Amino acid sequence: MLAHARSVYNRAMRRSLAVLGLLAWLACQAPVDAGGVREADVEYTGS
Amino acid sequence: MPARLYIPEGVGRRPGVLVLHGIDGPQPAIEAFARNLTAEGFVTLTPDLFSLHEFGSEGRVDHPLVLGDLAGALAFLKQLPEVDPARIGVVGFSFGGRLAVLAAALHPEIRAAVNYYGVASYQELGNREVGGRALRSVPLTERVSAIRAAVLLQHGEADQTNPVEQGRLLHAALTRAAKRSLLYTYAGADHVFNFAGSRHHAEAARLSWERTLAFFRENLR
Repeated sequence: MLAHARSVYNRAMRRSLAVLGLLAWLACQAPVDAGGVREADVEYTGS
Repeated sequence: MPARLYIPEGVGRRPGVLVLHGIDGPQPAIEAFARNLTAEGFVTLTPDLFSLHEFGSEGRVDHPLVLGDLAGALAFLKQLPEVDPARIGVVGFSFGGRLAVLAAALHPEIRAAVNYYGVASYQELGNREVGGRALRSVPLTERVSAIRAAVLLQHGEADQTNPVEQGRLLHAALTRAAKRSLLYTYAGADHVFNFAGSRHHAEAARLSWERTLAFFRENLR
């Protein structure tokens, strides 16, 4: 019973961490909205 | 190459404008200018034309690495889904101001170029010490025939770094070549008059901003 509860708890934790990781990644990728202006650091091919 | 991109709210393709920094490289004031332009409906891109290069003792004026990066920035801006590639402009300050006009000469798809107090001809800067690439550079006055864009020149009449005669020289050459050129000069305004600092000139800064905005609105409709 205790082992089952621990397993459920661990799965839920892993899912939560995965979601949090995804959200953190998206936050880094998405341009910031500042007063109607989206901003982002970008890279382009130059010389 | 690194750059910062600013996109206005809303849908549909917008005019795109390259915002070119001065000899000091990217600065918060340049980013603020780009952000303000974007708040008025333009997609703007501020490329960092310096940080990844070693230019050597000959200097950076019209350097092939800078011109290559400029071409790359222009191509990047044009391919963005938010940008109408038929409505591209460029604005620059001092070093970037000269570059804005040079960009218009090298890239005929540019429809509007704004030059804030850039050097038109290093050879005619008088007895100032100029050497290296600058001295060998082709004066903008000799490149005007290739320009299809409308050009706006903004220059302080008390510019101690790059005298206002440089703006007048370029305006005269553009006009002689039957190009669309507007020159505004500002009494009492020094170099970089539109940015915060000891040389800031509030009235000239306000007026030049309004004129830049009106110019882009008219020519990138």
